[in-house]
Amino acid sequence: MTSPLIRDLEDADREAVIDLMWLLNRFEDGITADRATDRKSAKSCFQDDLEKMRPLGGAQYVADQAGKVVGYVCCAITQGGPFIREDVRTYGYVTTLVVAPDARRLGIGEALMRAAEDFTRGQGLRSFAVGHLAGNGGAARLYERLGLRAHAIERVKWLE
Amino acid sequence: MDKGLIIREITGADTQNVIDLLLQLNRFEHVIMPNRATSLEAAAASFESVSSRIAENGGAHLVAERGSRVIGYCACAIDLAPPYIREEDRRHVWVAELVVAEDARRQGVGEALLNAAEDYTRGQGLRHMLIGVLAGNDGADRLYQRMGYRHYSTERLKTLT
Repeated sequence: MTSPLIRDLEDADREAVIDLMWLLNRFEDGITADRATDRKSAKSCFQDDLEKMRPLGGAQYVADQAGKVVGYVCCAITQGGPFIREDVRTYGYVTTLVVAPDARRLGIGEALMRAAEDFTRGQGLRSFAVGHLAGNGGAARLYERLGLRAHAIERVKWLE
Repeated sequence: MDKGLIIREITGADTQNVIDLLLQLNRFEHVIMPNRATSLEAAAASFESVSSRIAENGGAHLVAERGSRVIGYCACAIDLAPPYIREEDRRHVWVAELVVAEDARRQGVGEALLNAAEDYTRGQGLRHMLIGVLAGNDGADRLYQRMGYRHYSTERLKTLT
């Protein structure tokens, strides 16, 4: 199989990307059991990526395999809280990364992440960040390999 | 819980003490994660930031007091999780700040504050709580685990060269 082309998101990709985000929500629901698994919520997630990029900008890339969208990444330029030193407060944050199930393990996630990292560097920023679910070992391994080190964890409690 | 410890809502008179606690927190975290702003101004800006967030979306500022001295602070911010979370569970309480004075640690003050934060959350008709902790802040992490907070997600960072 030829390796897919990583390119900027175009308007025509929108529905295909929403379908990928829908798959992602269902995949993650298998880990957390708290996901909204209807397509309408996936559409809201796509909208949410646009919202996150609105204040400071960002980039959206797709992996295109012979005209079929098989992966998507969104990197939003994000401002940390005032407790972060000013020179590193603004960073590139990967809000979404998804690869179609039948296109996994081909290096597509890695290629999309490298595009997001290059975008961040190109903005003159020094920090690149991403979050992933505890229990998503595949994502953890990929990010670790790309040099992204765990610096914080989030904990959840559902009260009785 | 020790009898002398009172958990109450913040008043205007507590502001400076709370900012001092946030300054201690930033300095403590800076040792683990050397990207913290460690000035008094940055601590004041943190307090202002969480205050405006709470003013806008709801939440509570809780302080721990012993012998009329403020020794702990907890900011509970009502927040809306992203749209990938089921609609009915999106509204939750995010513990935005939790700090105990250096000389009052390991005495159950953090636990008392977090218990009060849970009571506040229930009182709002919510049941979903989130709290973040730096990798390497083992004391805080042990407390949260002991109180039933499960590992949900991991944040990763790379410094670009």
